[in-house]
Amino acid sequence: MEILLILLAALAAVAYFWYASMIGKRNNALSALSGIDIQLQKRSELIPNILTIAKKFMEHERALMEDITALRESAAQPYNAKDPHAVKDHLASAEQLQAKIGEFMVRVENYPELKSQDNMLQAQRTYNEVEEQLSAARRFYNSSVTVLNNAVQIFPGNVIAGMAGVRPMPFYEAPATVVEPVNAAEILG
Amino acid sequence: MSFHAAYRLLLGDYGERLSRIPPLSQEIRAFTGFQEHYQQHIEPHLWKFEQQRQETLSIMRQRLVRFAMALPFLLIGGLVLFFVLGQIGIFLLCLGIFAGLYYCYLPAQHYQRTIKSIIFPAILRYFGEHYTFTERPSFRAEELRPSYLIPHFDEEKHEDEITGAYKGVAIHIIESELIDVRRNDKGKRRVTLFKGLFILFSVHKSFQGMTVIRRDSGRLGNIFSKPGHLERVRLEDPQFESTFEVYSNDQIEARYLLTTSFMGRLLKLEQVFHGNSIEASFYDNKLLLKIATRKDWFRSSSVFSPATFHTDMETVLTEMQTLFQIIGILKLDQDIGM
Repeated sequence: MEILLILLAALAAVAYFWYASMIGKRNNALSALSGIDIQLQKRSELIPNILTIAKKFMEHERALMEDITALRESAAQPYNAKDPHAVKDHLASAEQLQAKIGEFMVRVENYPELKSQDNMLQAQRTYNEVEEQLSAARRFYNSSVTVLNNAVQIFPGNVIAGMAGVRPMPFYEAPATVVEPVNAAEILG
Repeated sequence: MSFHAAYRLLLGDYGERLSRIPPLSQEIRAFTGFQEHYQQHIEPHLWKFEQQRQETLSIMRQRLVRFAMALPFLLIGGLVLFFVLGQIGIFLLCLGIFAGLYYCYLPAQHYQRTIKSIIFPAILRYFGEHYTFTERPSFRAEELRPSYLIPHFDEEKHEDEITGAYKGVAIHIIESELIDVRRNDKGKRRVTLFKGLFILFSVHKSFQGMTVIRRDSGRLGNIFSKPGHLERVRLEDPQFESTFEVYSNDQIEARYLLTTSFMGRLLKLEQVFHGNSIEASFYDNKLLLKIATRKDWFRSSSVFSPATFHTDMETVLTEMQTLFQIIGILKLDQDIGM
C-alpha cells in the first residue's frame, strides 16, 4: 500500500514538473513572439515617415503607397497570442507588409533624386537596422516554437499538453512569393 | 642561440656583414607603396643597426670566451658539490651553465628588443601613422575578464602589443600566455592554459548585452564551464553548433550579431588559422577574438643575420595581412549586417 502511494506521488510529481516545463516553454515562445511584435511596431512607426519623404517624388506609385498604408493598419490589429491560427494570420499579415515595403524600396531605385536625399538615406538605414533586428527576433521565435512543439507533440507530452490546453504554435515561414524558384529565362527573355 | 652559432662566434666568425643595401624581396614589394615607405623610414637605420649588431656580436664573443675559460672550473666545482651534496650538486652545476649561457645571450636579446622598439613601429606606420607597437606592454589579462573568455590563471606573459585601425575598424592585438601553477606532492608544475593572440575589434553594430562564443567542450564540460548568468543560445547552423557553444543575456541580440552568414565566416576563419581554436566575445561594443596558436608572432630577426630587416619586414607585413584578413572575412568593415 505504501509503495503504491509512493509510486503515485512520484508519478504526480513527474506529471507536475512536465506540465510546468511545458508552460515554461510556451511562455518562452510567447516571449519570443512579443520580441517580434516589438520590432514590427518599430517598423510600423517608420513607415509613415518613409512614405511622407517619398510622396512628392513618387506620385505615380500612389497605389503602392496606399496598399502599404492599408497593410500597416491591418498588421497592427490586436490578436490572441495563445490562438495558433490568430498568430499565423498575424505573422502572414506582417509578411505581406514586408513584401510590399520591399517592392517599394526597389521602386525607390528608379527615382535618383529621392534616392540621394539625406533623410531618405537615413530612413532606409534605420529601416534596414530594424529589419535585421526583426530577422533575429524571428529566428529566436522559430527556435522557441521548435522546443515547444517538440514537447507538445511527442508522447506523453501530448497527453499533458491536451489536459493543460497547450497547443503547438506556428513557425514563422517565408511567404510563398519568396520561396518560388526564380525563372531566369523569364527574366532574361 | 644554437650550439653551432655559439661555436662559430667563439672562433671569431661573425657571419655575413652588411656591405651594401640589398633590394627588397618580391614578397615585400608586393605591398603597394612600401618601397617608398622603406626608403624614407627604415633604410636610414640600416648602417647604425649593422654597427650595433657587430658590437653586440663582439660583446657576446667576449662573454663566451670568459664562459669557456670558466667552464672547467665550473665542472670541477660541480663534481665536488656532487660528492658533497649529491644530486643538488648536479642541479647547481646545470644552473650555473644555463646562467652562464644566458649571460652570453643577453646582448642578443637587447639587440632584438631594439629592433622591435625602433624598426617594428616604423614598419607598422606603413599601415597608418596612428599605429603603435609596444614590445613589453603593461597590459593585464584581467582587463578582458568581462568577456568570459579568460580562464583562471596564476601567471601571465604579454608581448608585442599593436594598436591601430584598418578600413575604419579599430584593432588592438596582444600576444599572450596564461599559465596555471599547480601544486602537488612533487612540487610545482606550470601548465599553459592559453598561448596565442587576443585581438579586439570595434564593431559597427551597436549592442547592449553580451554574447560569448566558446569551444564546445562536450556535454559535461559545457555544464561546468557555463558563464554565470548567461543563457545558452541554440543556433541553426549544425556545423557551428557542433564546434561552438554560444551564451548570451539577450537571445534576440545574439541572433542579431550571429547571423547565419557570420557563423559561416567564423568557421572559415578557423581555416585561415590552420584549425587553431578560436573563441569570441561580443561585449562592451567590442568583438574580442581569442586565437590559440603555438606560433611566436612578430619575431625579430637574429643577431647573426645582417641588419637588412628583410625578415622583420616580411614577418610584420605578412602577419598583419593575415590579421587584417579577419576584418575582411568577418566583414567587420561593412555595414551589411555582418
